[in-house]
Amino acid sequence: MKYIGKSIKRKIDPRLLRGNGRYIGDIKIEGTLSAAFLRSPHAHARIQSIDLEQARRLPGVIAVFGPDDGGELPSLPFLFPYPSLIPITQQPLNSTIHHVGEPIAMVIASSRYIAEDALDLIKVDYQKLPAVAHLEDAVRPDSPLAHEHLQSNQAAQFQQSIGDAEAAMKNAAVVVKQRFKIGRVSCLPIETRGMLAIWNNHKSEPTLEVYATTQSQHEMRRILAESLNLSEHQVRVIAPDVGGAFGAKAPFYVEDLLVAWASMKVEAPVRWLEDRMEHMMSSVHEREQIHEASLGVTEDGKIIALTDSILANTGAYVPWGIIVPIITSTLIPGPYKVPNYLCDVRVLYTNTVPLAPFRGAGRPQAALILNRLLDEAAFQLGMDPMEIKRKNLIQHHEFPYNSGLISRDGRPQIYDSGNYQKLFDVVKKEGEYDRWIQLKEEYRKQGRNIGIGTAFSIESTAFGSYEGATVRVEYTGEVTIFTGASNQGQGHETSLAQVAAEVLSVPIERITLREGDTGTFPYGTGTFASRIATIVGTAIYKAAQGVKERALKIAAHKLSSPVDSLELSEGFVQLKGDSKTRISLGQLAHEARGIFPGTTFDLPVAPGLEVTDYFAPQGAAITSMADMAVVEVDPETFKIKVLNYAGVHDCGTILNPMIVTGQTLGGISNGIGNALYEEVVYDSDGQLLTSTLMDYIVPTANEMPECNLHHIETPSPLNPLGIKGTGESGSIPVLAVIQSAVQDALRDHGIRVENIPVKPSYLKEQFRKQEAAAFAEGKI
Amino acid sequence: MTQNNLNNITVTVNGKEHSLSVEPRMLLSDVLRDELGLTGTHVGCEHGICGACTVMMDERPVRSCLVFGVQANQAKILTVEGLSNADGTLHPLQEAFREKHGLQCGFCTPGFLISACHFLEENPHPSREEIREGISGNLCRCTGYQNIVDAVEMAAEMLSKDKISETDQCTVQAEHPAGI
Ligand code: FES
Ligand code: FES
Repeated sequence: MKYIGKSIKRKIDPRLLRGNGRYIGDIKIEGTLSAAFLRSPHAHARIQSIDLEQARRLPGVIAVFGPDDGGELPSLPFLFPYPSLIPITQQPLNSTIHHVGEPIAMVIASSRYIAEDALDLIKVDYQKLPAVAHLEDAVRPDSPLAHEHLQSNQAAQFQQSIGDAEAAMKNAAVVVKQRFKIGRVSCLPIETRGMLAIWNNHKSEPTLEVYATTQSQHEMRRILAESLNLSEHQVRVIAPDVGGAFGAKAPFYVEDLLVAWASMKVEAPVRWLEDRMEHMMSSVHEREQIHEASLGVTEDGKIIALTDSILANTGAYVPWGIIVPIITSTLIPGPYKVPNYLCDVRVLYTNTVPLAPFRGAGRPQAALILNRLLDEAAFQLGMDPMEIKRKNLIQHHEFPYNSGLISRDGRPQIYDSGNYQKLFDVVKKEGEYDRWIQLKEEYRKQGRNIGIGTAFSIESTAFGSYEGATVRVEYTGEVTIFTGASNQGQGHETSLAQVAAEVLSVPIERITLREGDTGTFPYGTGTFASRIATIVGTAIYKAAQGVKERALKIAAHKLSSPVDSLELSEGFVQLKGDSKTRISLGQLAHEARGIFPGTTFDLPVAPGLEVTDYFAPQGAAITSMADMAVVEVDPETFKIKVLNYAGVHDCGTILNPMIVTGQTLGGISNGIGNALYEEVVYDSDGQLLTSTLMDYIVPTANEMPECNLHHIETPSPLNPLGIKGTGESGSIPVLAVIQSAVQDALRDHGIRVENIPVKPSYLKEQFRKQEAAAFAEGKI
Repeated sequence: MTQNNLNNITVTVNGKEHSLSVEPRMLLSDVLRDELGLTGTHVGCEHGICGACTVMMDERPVRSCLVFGVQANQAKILTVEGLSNADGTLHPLQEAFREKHGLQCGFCTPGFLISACHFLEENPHPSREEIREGISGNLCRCTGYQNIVDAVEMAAEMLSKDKISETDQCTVQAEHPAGI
């Protein structure tokens, strides 16, 4: 292949490197007003009275909207229904507040400085209501209710099972049990959310044009149209350059509805840019779960049974249903053969920011559980932790593998392909596992706490309805591709162009990809679930094949040669192996559109050298990975340093290795943050304690280890190119490998590591508890 | 705010002098972005942690979200728009970021370029450890930093090979057409 599989440099970079990006905040439209939101300081409260008058009188203020105005608007739509779920979605400017940071009033002013001044002039009397924030509190029968009208805080309850885990557990030679408490994190793109809405009321048909930091502009168009009583044709949503997203920009938020609505009300363009504090208190969080899990194995380490009971926090609302705990519960078995499995899940409402997918979406939690239980079983059996994992991996010849579970679309969960033994071999070699085992012993003799952690994991990628693409040859011979995707730094403009370049044999510089605009491609689903390379890539592949076919037919007609004597080469159709007899694609495009007005179209194809096609995958393509980390824990400060990180990832056919490696590295850094530093903390009354980057700690270059990454390619049978998704896979194994390594480092001290993030303060507390227990037993 | 609260300031940005009236409370980041239209400088946190808004002010890197526009009166400022050469060719650091895939969404990138530019002037032959330390005042959520470290390493190499021209330095003061 000439283009697919090559590390072609990104086309977008020179523009971004010169500072010529066009992010929401950079778009200048004359007369744009600024929106700012007054947000609740309470986790659960009712507004007794609110006085907006003084704010309205401030010079420069155009309008102020409060709970009375919000009543005009519908609640956010309910996406992703699930049988047992009691759905509660957010009402814009509600007079009852369900988490700190919920917007209760909106100011529109001539500048953001003035809009923020006006917020200070709004007087609110709140009646505080009892609030609940922590999972352990939310499940108690006497807990305060997150929503007063519910009987309990339970949003949903469900089970997943394979075989009969409880019965099988009785036959296990060894049973290990562990609790896992996983903290809550923020997606935290460096560009916060934002929107610029332009209501144009001066035409026969008014239109709403919206620039938004969104991962799914078509979904946003649909919701805006429905909520504002417009037709979809009247709404155009454009995602310009978007500065990272990682899940935060996938849901539709109340601010999205309010800013668009405000531009209609004041009949002017309105921009809102979220500040970092608003991001912490209103953009979705993820990860928070508590697991009580047990694993039963045979004497030689084979898995017999696995049980888990999960408490999952969903915050105050369900903007994306409860797909995070659903994904966790279906992927806990992961790459391992688990004959008996029972997982009970309870999802709870609390007075906190809603939880919805962040990079990895429920899968890092899933990967943590079984990998860590296998570590503990290996310890009890005196086995090597990597060996026990290898022993239970699904074998190469067993694909397609039916896990026995039902995936979230109601169909059997089938793993399409994989080569897990190879993952094992490569990570063991490239991570220098055996050398590190030796080193560990040597270092330990010197009193250093070194530990090695390993994990195998999978990612269900590239699912969820469909995507499409139009591939068009211009008169100049340039190729334009339109897709329904949006880009937040993944480099689609290059990697997806590589697919068309391959099929059409057109130099990549001559291909332009346009995306993120409902005005240029009619339908799309969105950039999430690591799905764009696979689904859009395949749609482009199919459309480009269609263009190729047409081009060959027209050329055959023009050259009076049979189609099968022709080939495409560097922007031309030529007689095979004969570059002298050729027609350029530009010329063929010209022909295909009819040379002169009024002449009869005599080509044996439909007019236009342009084809639109769609791809709807039959199921998830399963990406797999094996990772290994070595950590050192300082005996005094408990500081954890990652000394070495190695990973082998298999995302099927790789379009652009440079981009795939970049995605993996980014995922790993999100994972390291999640495993060691980042945690959104609420007190038990729902007060947010981490609302700035002073208290929410994100890894810098200093905290990241040098990563040693490798790729293997096991193509997916589910699409013609064999691609699987890769955007999130970096983040998935990290919780498991890091916790595994820290546990290994401290095993001799008798410390049990159950929390994520693993922080020095947590380890110190574990040591203190252990000493207290030893003291109580009279050992010291 | 009323007109009488405006202050007159003069700043030289990327070699070009600007005189303007700003409110004393207006942040330098907003002066650059909104008053001068230089939107290459990005704002990611507005509280001095992320480093996205980093610009050079009188030969020192500053977080423009922590500086008021009035404090920049009479100062010489370099933003990302002034980093490439006047003829439009990329600065070696920009080249290296492209070559090593040191950016994804590109939102943090202007801040990294400015910080790294200054860092390499202070330490032209850094180790990887030192590079990590040197760029640790900037957050990137996309790249995992490794490729940024590679890029800075490569730029150090390029800069030490080429004789550094006036315009390749981050203290550049020649006039740049805004927003090349
Ligand atoms: S915006 Fe200035 S440091 Fe983050
Ligand atoms: S490239 Fe996106 S934040 Fe750094």
